[in-house]
Amino acid sequence: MAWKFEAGIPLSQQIVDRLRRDVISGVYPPGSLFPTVRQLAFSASVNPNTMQKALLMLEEEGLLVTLGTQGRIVTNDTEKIELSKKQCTEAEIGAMIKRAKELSLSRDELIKFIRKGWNENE
Amino acid sequence: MLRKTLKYDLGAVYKIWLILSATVLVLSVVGGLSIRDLVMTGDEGNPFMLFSIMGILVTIFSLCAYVLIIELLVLFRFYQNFFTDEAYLTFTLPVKRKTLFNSKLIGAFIWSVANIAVVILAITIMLALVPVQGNGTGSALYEFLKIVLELIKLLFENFSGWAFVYCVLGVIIYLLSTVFSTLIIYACITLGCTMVRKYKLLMAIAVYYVVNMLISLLSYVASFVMSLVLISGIGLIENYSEAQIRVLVLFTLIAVASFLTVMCILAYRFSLSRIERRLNLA
Amino acid sequence: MNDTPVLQCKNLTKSYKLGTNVLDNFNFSVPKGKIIGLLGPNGCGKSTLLKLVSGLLVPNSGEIEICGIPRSEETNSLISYLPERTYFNSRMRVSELIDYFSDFFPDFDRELAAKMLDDLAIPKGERLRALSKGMKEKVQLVMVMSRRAKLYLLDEPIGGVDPASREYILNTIIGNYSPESSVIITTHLITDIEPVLDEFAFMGWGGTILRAGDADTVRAATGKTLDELFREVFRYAPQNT
Repeated sequence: MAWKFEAGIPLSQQIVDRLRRDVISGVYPPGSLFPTVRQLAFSASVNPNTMQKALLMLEEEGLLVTLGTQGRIVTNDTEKIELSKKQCTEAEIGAMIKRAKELSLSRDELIKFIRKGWNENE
Repeated sequence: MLRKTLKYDLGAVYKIWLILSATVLVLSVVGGLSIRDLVMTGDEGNPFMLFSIMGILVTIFSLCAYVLIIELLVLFRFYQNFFTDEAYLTFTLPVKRKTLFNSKLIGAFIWSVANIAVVILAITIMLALVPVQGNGTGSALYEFLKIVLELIKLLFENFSGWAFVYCVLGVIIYLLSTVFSTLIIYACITLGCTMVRKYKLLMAIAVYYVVNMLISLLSYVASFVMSLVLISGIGLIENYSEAQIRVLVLFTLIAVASFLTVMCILAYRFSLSRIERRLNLA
Repeated sequence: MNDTPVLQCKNLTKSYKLGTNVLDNFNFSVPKGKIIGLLGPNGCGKSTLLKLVSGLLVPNSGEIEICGIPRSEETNSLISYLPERTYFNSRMRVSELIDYFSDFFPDFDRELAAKMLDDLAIPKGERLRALSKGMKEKVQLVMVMSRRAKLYLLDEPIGGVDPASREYILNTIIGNYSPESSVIITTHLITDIEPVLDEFAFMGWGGTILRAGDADTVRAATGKTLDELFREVFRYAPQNT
């Protein structure tokens, strides 16, 4: 199935965000072999050059390591993955807090809602 | 590349030609037997007379239809390949347009010759089946061949070695006219289809109609002039020596052959230039 | 490292009627390894350009070069062209069409064609005229994409096809991608084609390139999808008389 994309953000950026989440959440475990550009482009129905751009960005972030012609693996550096997870979480929480403030929620009200919602989602 | 295109051009018509040829040959047997029946029963009452007459008619009709069908098929393939949507494939092949056109031309020629061969074979079969009374149990074919041989002997007696040259020229003229008739129709189709965007086929037929009329007109004029020349010259012929007559005949044959060659070249060049330069697909 | 562009058009002019130039001194260059979308309203010259490059039309003036070689019937073996209409003899069988392509194009991959036909559930023994319109279009696409050409010219490849087939076709284009060859696609379905493109070019009348760029970064630059951008650029485009 082709991935869904939204307007306003470059495709390569959206691909990076999605793949980063997959790495953090363990869909691609540390040290495992990462799919090739071709395979990913095919499953996402995107241009291979665009996919390559995204993977290069993940390399720069340090989440992926290139083995040259052998392909790419997810980094074994679990610290880096943790750091990335932390950054992602902070970004998500930051967005949530901003929207909560727009709804005129106080910090404690927000925490109450979080507690309730977390329990219900179990 | 020419071989490849030729392979496909011939292959498209091949199966139908085979089936029709077989049918025609079978029917020629029927026709021959029909004539045989009529000839043998003669004045006596013949209960099968109607069938025999029908048999002959069917055979003659099938021979005409056979030649016509194959010719139309070849022409239609030319039109289809070059001037319909199929052209999108034809002209994106890594083949020169000239080669494609040559292939169509050679294919048409091969089928013309094949057609004639089958027709001759059919007639031979028919003649072989028809008996001729009087000279024992000979067949019409035998008699026919005897007449042909007599004619050939006569020819060689009068013209000796030159007769051979005349025959060769005669065959060449025949082949040239076959090629020319194909080329002129191709030229008409090409002109008609490159003149308009819609109703190309109708336009091609219209062009051919006009060209045909022109050729007929020219033929009438030419034969009129020729008959005048002949009538006025017949008296003179007796005054000519044998050598002069021989040269005259040779000259006439070469003139006709040259004329046909020039016409063929013109038609070929015209069609090809239009196909190479003025063929714009909508 | 050979950097010759796969396609180079120099000062290309083509007119059908006196006075109106469908393409007017058109200049266009396509490097290797790119999938380019040629987008524009009907009649702006997209199809005409593809036909000029594939040799179906002769330009009034200008030059076309394929991989540095001037256009001729020989460069046809480097180009794989998919027109909008079906172009095969309907009396042929699918298998005969495969033989035909193999015969004339040395770069035709029989196995790939067979595999794609199986994927699309198209019977190889069937005569082409017995297939539905959609299936005929798919067969044509399979033939074109089974070639290992340097330049693929696809004229409205996903226009008349259902969404599932559309995805298959786009995936085929992606799967066939090679850094040595390029693809030019013309289409109206911009949303579908956008993720597949490297670059896009909006073509206006006379063949002028109104806007061109990288399909990926234009989103960030304009905040719009390619489809929205297209509508914006062509909303008030004047009608040609």
